[in-house]
Amino acid sequence: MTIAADIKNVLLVDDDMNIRTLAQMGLEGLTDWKVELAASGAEAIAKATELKPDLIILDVMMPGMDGPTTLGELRKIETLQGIPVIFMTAKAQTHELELYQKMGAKGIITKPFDPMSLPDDIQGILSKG
Amino acid sequence: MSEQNNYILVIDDDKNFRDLAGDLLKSRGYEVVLARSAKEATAAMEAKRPALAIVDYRLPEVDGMTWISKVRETDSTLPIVLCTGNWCDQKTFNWLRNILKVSLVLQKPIVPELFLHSLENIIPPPANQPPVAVDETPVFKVQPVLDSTQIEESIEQIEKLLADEGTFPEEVERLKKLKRRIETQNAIKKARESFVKNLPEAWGELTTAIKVTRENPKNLLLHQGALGLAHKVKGTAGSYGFAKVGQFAERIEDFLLTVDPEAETEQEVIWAEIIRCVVEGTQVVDEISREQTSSTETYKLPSISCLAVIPEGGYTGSLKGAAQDANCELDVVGSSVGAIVKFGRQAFDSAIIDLSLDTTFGHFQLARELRQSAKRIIPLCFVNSKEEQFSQADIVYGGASVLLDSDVTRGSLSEAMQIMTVAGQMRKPRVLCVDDDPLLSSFVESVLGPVGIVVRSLNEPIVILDMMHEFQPDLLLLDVIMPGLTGYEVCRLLKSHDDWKQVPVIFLTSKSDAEGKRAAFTAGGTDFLSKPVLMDELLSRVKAHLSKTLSEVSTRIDMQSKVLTASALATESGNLLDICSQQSQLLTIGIVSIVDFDQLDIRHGAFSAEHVVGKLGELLNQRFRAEDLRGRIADGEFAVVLAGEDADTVSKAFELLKGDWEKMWFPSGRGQEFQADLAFSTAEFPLEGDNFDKLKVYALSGLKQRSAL
Repeated sequence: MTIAADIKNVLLVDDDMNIRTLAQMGLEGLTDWKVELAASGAEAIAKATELKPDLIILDVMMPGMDGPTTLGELRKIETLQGIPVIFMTAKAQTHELELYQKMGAKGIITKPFDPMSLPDDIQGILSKG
Repeated sequence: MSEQNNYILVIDDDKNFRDLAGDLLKSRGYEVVLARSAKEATAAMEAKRPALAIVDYRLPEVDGMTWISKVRETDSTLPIVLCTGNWCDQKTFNWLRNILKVSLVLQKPIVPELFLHSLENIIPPPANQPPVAVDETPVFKVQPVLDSTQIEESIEQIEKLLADEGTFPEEVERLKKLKRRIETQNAIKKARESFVKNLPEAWGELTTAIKVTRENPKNLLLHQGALGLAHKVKGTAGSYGFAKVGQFAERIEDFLLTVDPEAETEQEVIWAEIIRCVVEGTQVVDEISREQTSSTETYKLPSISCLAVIPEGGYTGSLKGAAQDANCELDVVGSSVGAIVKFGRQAFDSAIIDLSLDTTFGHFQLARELRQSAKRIIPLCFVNSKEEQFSQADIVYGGASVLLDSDVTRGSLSEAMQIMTVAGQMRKPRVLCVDDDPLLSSFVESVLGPVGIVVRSLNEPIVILDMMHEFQPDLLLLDVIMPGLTGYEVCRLLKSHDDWKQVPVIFLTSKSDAEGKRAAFTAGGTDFLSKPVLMDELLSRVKAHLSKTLSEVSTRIDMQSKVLTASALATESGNLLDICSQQSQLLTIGIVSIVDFDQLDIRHGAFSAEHVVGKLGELLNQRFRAEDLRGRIADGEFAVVLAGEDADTVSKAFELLKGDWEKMWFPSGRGQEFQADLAFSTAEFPLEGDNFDKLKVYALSGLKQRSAL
């Protein structure tokens, strides 16, 4: 059994409505996950505290609090420890990837992404452990 | 069931390659044995039969091909992959496939992802993945492609199967999964349609931001704003499947990052690149939004659209009747100025011009103006309502595929429209569909055919090179998994070929996994479509890529002059000659040579020659009939090929061309404007040669003689 099979709730954080819609369609259409949406880092922290999702997908470039900062804040909240976080970014350079991994991200989804293969991509990241 | 044999034999005298291939394969859980020579390989074979052998083309003592032939004497089924540093020609390919039964030919240097991906299609990797490929549902094979109505039907079918108690439980699971996929894909398709509506706005926003940033180079806030917008468009447009738009946004972002707001100099080059990306991106966005609005209305476009420029109250009634008969979308205008305005707004496929209205600029000038604003060679029909005297050369040079006298009827007009449709079709875009699944090929034909795209199918990728020469496609649809050569290899092969590297390649892939996609782009693919391919998507992507190709980067079109390249002209002329000889028709090749071409740059400054070539190409495209061929056969030499015309007519037409040309002056780097002389010569089929090369040589020799005089 993969870890992904245990996932029920996913929190998806992106400031772009188009991306939220598309990713949610792919995820909810192809898996049994329930996808909650947040449009900013602050909203993500509030929703994560309330919902305690099994997975958080976090856009890197957001106005205000960006992805890495949001992750830092999430890691400070005791009840949210251990929730896997995957970054979504349109700019994935090697040194950045390393940086994100050091910060405790499980992996990276690069934009543009294919909504039809998004669940598989996530499964792949999670099963790498 | 016996356990899967995961043993792979790698034979190469190059240690680096052996190690690389070995490591890659081991990382996937294969068992690997490395051999340095054919001798070692044979020994290893005797010890244990591998599941697959990877052989280098060049080996010391006994080469790869010889080794394979030896193996085939006793073992006819062992899958063998041949690696080679050079691409082989078509003959070698055929031999490898037919005689040596090689499963795959790979080019060195290998790209790790492609290498593994290609091999995994021959023997699945043992450790990581279970042997059953869940994603490749067999149902996809039966029904590989779905259009909007097919989606509903398929879902209905699946529901029926699900309701049936006789359906096996595993089957139920698979069907449910398939149903979800289809439904999700359909939902995404709809989201995509609404995204497109906002795309021009988003792109416009980016364009404005860049403009403002450029005007205020020191304003960091504006710079950041533009960067953010580019970044956003790159992520969203790409994810919604508009890869091209995403790529332009990405380039804009990259260039913006290199702009230094503090620097005083050297920024112009970067800005020029940015602006170019904006302009090209805008074209793509326009194209996409146009496709989207038109494709929802109708798939079956009228066979031809036509603007008639005729005197008011003339024969409008007959025209309208004829348009109905010929399935022609007609628009009528009463003056030449009005015609030019209309052409500026809408791209008509053809025009009917009443010569009584074409006096403002002199005879046949309107035809030229219309082609200029259409930016392509549209077929024309002239109506000589004043019964003026015209020679055949006048008509040919003026560009009329049809000339009607004052006595126009519904019948003659409708026939003219049909002739123009045929003449226009000679310039139809061509798509080559390479796929071993006949169902998919026929689907592609049924979608692209009705919108005027010529589709040819190829189910044996190994003969791709022959096909490319024969068919000269403008775009390729390429399946990934095929016997002999994978789609990736076909793509790399073409990209390594000077003649074909510009042809856009769209991969059709049933693997929606990220790895396959990455591999597609690594191989040089332009875009990809996931199977099941949706009708609308196929149409809009093909059209989007074609419009780009046809306008500027087609391999068949010479970049500077916008006429056919020498090789495309030779192929097309060959086809035309075949038709003419079947119908016992004449054909004339006319050669136009720019006198002292190599001296132009020296005498008049850099780019002078390029400028002259561009103008001559433009003039040739504005003149002559749509069905005539125009090509550039050498640096300063052009050819026009006219079916059904004799050398005398063509020579006279060239006199008219000379008249137009003598009015043209070119800017010189030396300050003064200059003119360039043209020399002409002709060769007539069948009298002076029975194939293109002979005719060309004959005409060229005529040119030499004349210049010697």
